[in-house]
Amino acid sequence: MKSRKFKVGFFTILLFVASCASNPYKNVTVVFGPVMDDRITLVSAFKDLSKGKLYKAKVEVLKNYLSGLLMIKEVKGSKRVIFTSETGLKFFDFEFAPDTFIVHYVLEQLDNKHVLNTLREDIGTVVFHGVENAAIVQVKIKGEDALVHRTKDKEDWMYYYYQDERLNKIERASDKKKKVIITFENYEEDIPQLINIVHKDFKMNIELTYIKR
Amino acid sequence: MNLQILKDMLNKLTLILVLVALQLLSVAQADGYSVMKNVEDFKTKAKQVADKTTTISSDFVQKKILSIMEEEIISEGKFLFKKENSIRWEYQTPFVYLIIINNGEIFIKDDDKENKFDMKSNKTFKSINDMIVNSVSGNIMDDDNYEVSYYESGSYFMVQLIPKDEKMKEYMSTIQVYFDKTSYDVVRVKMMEESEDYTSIEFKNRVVNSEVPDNKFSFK
Repeated sequence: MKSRKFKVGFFTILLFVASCASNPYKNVTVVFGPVMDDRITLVSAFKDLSKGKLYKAKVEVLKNYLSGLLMIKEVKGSKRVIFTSETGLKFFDFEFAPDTFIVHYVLEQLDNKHVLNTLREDIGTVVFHGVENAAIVQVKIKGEDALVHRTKDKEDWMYYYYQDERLNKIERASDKKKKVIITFENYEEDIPQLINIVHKDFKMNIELTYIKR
Repeated sequence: MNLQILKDMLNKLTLILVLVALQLLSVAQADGYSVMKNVEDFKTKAKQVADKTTTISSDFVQKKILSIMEEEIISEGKFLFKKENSIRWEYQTPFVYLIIINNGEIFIKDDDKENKFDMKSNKTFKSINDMIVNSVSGNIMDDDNYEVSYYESGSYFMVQLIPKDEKMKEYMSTIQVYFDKTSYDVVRVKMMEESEDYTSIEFKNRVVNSEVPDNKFSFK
């Protein structure tokens, strides 16, 4: 119990220190936009999803660990994402349709509003769900050489970072704080070989490693 | 985010994922299959073969069919069985993953992550483990957790299992176990979901009763 108390205390201090730390978005200046035409476009991490992309997925939530296989594919204009265990048990089957989100299947143990919302947001962001209709602005962030693209998703700001015309990071943030950071790394043949989703407000990480087939 | 709920759910989920890991024995439509003519004879012979089997070592090919995507995920590895109920599934390509079931315990290794579970604490778990052991060793017909029906084609006998338990049905609506008609060995298992998706596991290069060291089923 003692060590638990210590941990709680420790994290409170950490949180306090973190909240005192400087707001990373304090010096954001809108340079251009908002526009909804072709002058600024957001380019997805996936050039072509007509063939399914398979990733080994590792999910860490608090001290729990779950691994499996994540398949992403464009089917009839929707992005379909199916997550199974290595042994074939289906965890969920999501459809990100142009105007809506459909849960075709979810394992009973995952069927919880919070879990589904988090997964929907995280995976939806990875597959660029709803980005087509978003108003985009270009912003200058202190410390970043290139301009950063910004959109709004409900209450959150979404920041898109590009390097050599490739998407390498998406941040979900409030006015002051980063909430989720998604990185896309090691592109080979227009496919990011590693995708990392890290939550800053609670311990949850999703690591996706591309599986060549 | 309610972390406790999530935590509980993940715990339960891990159990279920292991359950299904166990079931790795699935199959297909009864195309070209007719009702088995001599069920008693099949059961007797399958049991005789099973009784004589002390170890099985085999390659396996697992196919996960995602029908809506028109995609299949193929993985391959090594399978080991040793009487009474030790099982080792080792996925080798295109990913590495290891499951060992021994002495009522389940061990999973995924890269550097290792997990261990006690099966005795979970009744469903135990019944699925029994199903796996019984399937692999050819004793599946005796499991009263399933409605069992018998079919045959030119080359195979097929035993079809439909879970009686509604919970179990959510994960697998039907299980088919295929036996070679001459050797009575289990050559393929197919597990179907309520959607059109299914998982099929084929056993290849099967060697029966070779020396399989106990340490293949041991873990820390």
